[in-house]
Amino acid sequence: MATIEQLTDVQATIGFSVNGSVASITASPLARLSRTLREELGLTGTKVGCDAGDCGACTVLLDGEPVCACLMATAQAQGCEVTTVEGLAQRGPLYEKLQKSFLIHGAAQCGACTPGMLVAATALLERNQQPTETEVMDALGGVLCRCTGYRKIIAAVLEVNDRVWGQNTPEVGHAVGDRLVRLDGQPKVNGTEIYGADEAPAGALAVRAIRCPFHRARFQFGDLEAYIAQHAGVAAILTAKDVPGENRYGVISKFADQPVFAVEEARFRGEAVAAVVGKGEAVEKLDLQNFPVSWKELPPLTSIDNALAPGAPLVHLDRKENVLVRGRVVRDDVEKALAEAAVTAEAEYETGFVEHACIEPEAGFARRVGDMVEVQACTQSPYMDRSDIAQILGIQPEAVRIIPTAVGGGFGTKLDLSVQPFVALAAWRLGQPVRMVYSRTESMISTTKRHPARMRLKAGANRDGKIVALDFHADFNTGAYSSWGPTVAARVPVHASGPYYVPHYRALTRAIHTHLVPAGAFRGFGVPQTAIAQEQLYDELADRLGMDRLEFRLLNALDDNTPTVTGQVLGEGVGIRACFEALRPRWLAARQETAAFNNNATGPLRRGVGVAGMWYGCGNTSLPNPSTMRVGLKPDGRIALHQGAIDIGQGSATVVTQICADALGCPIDRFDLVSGDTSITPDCGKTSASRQTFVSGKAAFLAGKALRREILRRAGACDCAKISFQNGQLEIQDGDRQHKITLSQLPTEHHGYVLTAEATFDPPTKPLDEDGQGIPYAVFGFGAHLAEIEVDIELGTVKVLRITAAHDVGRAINPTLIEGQIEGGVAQGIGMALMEEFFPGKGENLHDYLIPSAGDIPPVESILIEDQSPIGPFGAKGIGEQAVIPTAPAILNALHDAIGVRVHKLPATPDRVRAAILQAGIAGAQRG
Amino acid sequence: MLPKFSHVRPSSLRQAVQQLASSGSHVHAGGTDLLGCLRDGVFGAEKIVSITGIGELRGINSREDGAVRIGALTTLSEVATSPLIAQNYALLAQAAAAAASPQLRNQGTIGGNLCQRPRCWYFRGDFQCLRKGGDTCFAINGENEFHCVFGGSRCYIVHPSDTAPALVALDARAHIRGPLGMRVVPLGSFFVLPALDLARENVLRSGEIITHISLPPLAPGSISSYRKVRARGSWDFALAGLALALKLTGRRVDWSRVVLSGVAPIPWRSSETEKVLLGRDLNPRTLREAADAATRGAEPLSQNGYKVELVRGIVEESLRAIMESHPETPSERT
Ligand SMILES: Cc1cc2nc3c(=O)[nH]c(=O)nc-3n(C[C@H](O)[C@H](O)[C@H](O)COP(=O)(O)OP(=O)(O)OC[C@H]3O[C@@H](n4cnc5c(N)ncnc54)[C@H](O)[C@@H]3O)c2cc1C
Ligand code: FES
Ligand code: FES
Repeated sequence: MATIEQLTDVQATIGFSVNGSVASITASPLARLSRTLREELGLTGTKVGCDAGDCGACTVLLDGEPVCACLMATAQAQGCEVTTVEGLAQRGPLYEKLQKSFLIHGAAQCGACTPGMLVAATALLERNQQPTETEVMDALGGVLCRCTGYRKIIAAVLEVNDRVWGQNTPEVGHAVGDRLVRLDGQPKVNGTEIYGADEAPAGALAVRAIRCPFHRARFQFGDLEAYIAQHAGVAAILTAKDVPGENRYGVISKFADQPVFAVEEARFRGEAVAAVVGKGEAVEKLDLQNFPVSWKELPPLTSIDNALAPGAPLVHLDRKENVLVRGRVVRDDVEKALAEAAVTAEAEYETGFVEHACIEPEAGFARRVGDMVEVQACTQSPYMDRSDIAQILGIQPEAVRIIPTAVGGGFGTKLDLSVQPFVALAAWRLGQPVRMVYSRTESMISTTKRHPARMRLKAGANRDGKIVALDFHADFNTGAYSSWGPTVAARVPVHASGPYYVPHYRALTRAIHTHLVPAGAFRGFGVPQTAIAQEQLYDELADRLGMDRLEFRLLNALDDNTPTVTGQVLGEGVGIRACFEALRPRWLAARQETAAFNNNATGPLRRGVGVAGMWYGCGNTSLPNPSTMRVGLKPDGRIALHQGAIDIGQGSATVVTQICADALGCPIDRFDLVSGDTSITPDCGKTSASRQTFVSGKAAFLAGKALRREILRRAGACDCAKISFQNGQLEIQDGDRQHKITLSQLPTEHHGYVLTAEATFDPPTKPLDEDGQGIPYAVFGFGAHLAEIEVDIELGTVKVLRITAAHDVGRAINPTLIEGQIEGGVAQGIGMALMEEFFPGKGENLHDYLIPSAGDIPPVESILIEDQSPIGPFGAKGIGEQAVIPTAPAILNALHDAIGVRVHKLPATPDRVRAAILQAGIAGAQRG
Repeated sequence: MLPKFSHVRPSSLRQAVQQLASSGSHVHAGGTDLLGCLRDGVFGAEKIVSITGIGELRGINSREDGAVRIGALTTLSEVATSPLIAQNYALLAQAAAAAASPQLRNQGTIGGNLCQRPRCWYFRGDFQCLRKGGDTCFAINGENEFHCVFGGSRCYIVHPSDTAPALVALDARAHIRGPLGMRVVPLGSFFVLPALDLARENVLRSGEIITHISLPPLAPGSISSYRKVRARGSWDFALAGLALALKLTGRRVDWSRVVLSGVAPIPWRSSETEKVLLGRDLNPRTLREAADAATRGAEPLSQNGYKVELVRGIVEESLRAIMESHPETPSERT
């Protein structure tokens, strides 16, 4: 695909003012203003999320009015005054208040949308000091955020004038539980945060991938040497032949199957077959249509049915029937129990590909430093990147250094490699720094998605309302390569029961290969799809029994002593009942209000209420997943926390530090965070499976405790002594004895610390046997959502009016951040229920692929339940993925409550809702 | 290599028209549609003529005869927030406010909004479709949930503009300057169905520029509204929309314009519905018959039948809202 900048040969001198100073640049007049600002003027605070007007990340002020810089030709700015996020501070004290308000409300998570939000909000507030909520939503409506669910952003703007924002630091020992402002927040609100595309060494070469335009094709290269010779500035073309190590990677090494460059046959549209490396501008200007490769399109497998059909071609020759893996959890005789059950219900549900749509597309650079290669890119898993890159280059992991940048949204997709192999390989071979920035389309066609699922299930219950059995069968379309397919297939059977006691159980899953984009990890590893099926089915059971749907769930909810479907008895920290009970008051009120509304309805609007529960095991399924934390005391009395838990916006950097601070007994403002750079920070595993608060947090807890013990040992003080951290010295109060340690007198170790402690935590699990029985997770998080919606039965449109979300988080280390996770999860759940479906090959952009906007998110009330986990740090569990799981099924149950129909193929877009209404022949929808 | 092109920014209309005379020239107004089309290779170009330096193309003003003139370069934000428009043509203000996002409304112009290219994902994507000179419309057997249910033949795009149906309903006219001088085209005959020409969506000939739109005064007491259904809360193209203008006595319809958006390759005026309404009282029966009339002749594709239902729904809902806010016709009050 072309870039706009390459289209005009002419260069023009264009003058405009930027943030108060005059800029005069020579550029193509059609060069996007966003590009000119970022690349020519170094103002990287303006983000680029789509280059198409869809996301608003590039919003700047042009003569005071917000515009999308990506659709503004630089020549159009001639003579105008441009203000970027970096220049907002010059516009007066309002902006400082707005920044503080964003921080305190937790309105910036990953921060990729934040510059656009701040610019749009500033323009609004300059016009209108006291906007209404609707005005704020309208003004921010053009900027998409994938993390926050918008409510905290809207509140930050509405309440900007409400108080004088001061920063308060919690007292020693009280960091845990504090609504502490995120420690990495400041750069996110002043435009200085560095994401993957924001930095590259001067003169870095650029690399562009040649990608297969068909779902499946054989290919042959023409004369590559001639192509290089004919194109000035092109330094090299890389293909599979140039991979010195193994042309194969994958997040689970046993299944690693994805080549850096396809060999002879490409297995999905968007798969890379070669890459062109050269001078930035020259490579950017190439029309890759002319690249010497010829394609022979082959008939692709584009659905689960195709792939399972007898005689279907194999996507991978060694994977029979196109089955990547199977998952299985079986407990007792499910068929017999179903046959004997008083009532049964069965259903089939289907979901599509869901795109992560991180506002930051993948980007980064690499450089060779002697015999090492350094890769600076956005990632959720630096140590996994390190071993894969080492394997690809055929070098030792220690020869690879991964420097994670800020991550502008991850949600699972940035666990897999994207730009890294291309830049690392090019830099390694050419000895020069090399940079790559994915376009939105490239990101959408080549990175992982949520697995489409087809689920068939049947459940039965006794007359007294107890669930007796669930039989669950699911096929997941895992796409062309394994990615996290095995994890999904393994996790789903453990979770398909939901947080209930189900004595007779069979859950069988398969991950099926097709010739489509690989499906990987996306917030919940298949569990959100599963909950959509299981929670709707339980509603059917309750209805058949004539029971209240919430009470039915309460009756069946797990407790500390009932075994799960894998036979695990959790013993402590099973907060699901508390969650349902917390919803009861709103449930009762909402049912009444809804009934009243519907009884009086004369128009086309109907309301409904729905509830759904969830549980989610924190950490890897029956596999080790250790985290290691290092904490060091510096001679000046400050604490360095080597915190390798990558913060993708969810706030782990802050949470982990809060935990460490209280474990050590030190004020949190003494902490300096050291990032997840693999050369200086130990492995904290990947940011996935909601494991960072729990696993890395526990490691930080242990490291903090260890350092405390070490200090006390030196002072010869007892366990209960109080340490006071001061500049250059420690004072230890042990009863009436006082010790002083002068830090500068202590020797420093090689990191420059006078005292240091390191701790590793690996949650205890036990392998599952062949029936899936065992201890898959040490800790589960629980939650339940209540959705209130309004359906227009004539149009088929669904509006979510309110979500009440109760989550058992064990211990709320930072309530603001947890609410942020819940609200963001709710937004993604709304998307999954009502609008999101990705069709490979079509609509590979953010205007055909819709994600929820500010106008789609209702008020969200979060209720935090603290049923402490015996293992987690201060009792904490995870929340990251939990939050997304119950929203969609709650909405779909509310849809059924409102109009009595179920949509079996998601998302429930207006056409499908309307079709279901017509099919059901609902009165009122039928005219005449 | 891709074709390269030049970029000029004339300061007068005459120069602009001269510049546009050579083939392969394109007008560049706000650029919000043009830049996307060029990047995605929807069409090529030899010369880009930026018209933003031409002052006379801007602004909204009323003329002595009661008509209102909107310069082609007037941004959608200006149209949406102009008191003059809001007072006289509520429908247009609502339609402009319903288009795109605040940022894009600050950039995008009304002229560009009328001339933007279709959003069909095959047309915009890597498909050599009929409209791009190929020989297949991929929507017919493909993902066609967003395609047209009226007026399609061989190609099934929908017109993406929100302001176009409003302007058609208001009997607006486009004032066009070209190599042969000025001409005036009613918006109602400005747009072109695929049956007539597959390669373009309107009657503009090469080298022509819309200079302004003129709106005749609406009869006193007229009411108008724009209703848009979209798949999400903040900006999105219309799944279906309705531009409605009515003159009522009590609840009796003396005159009406009913124009649908999002369902046809052009703003779809439903004369059948207007006929049903003429001289009738707004009551549940009229509403139902009007909604039936609006859907008559629809030919949905495999996945877009719901649009027919949407049309039925918005026609009935919009008329009902008007009915409920107007007193019953005096003669009926017995
Ligand atoms: C993300 C996104 C969402 C959008 N959503 C909506 C929506 O919901 N509803 C809606 O109606 N629109 C929507 N649009 C379209 C947007 O409103 C138009 O792109 C905009 O109005 C076009 O105006 P412009 O000045 O930027 O046109 P340009 O991009 O400059 O031009 C568009 C086309 O019109 C031609 N042209 C422009 N002005 C003239 C003139 N005076 N005479 C002759 N030809 C001319 C150009 O040559 C070009 O082919 C959306 C666009 C984007 C990018
Ligand atoms: S980058 Fe400009 S709108 Fe997305
Ligand atoms: S914080 Fe908005 S996109 Fe991440």
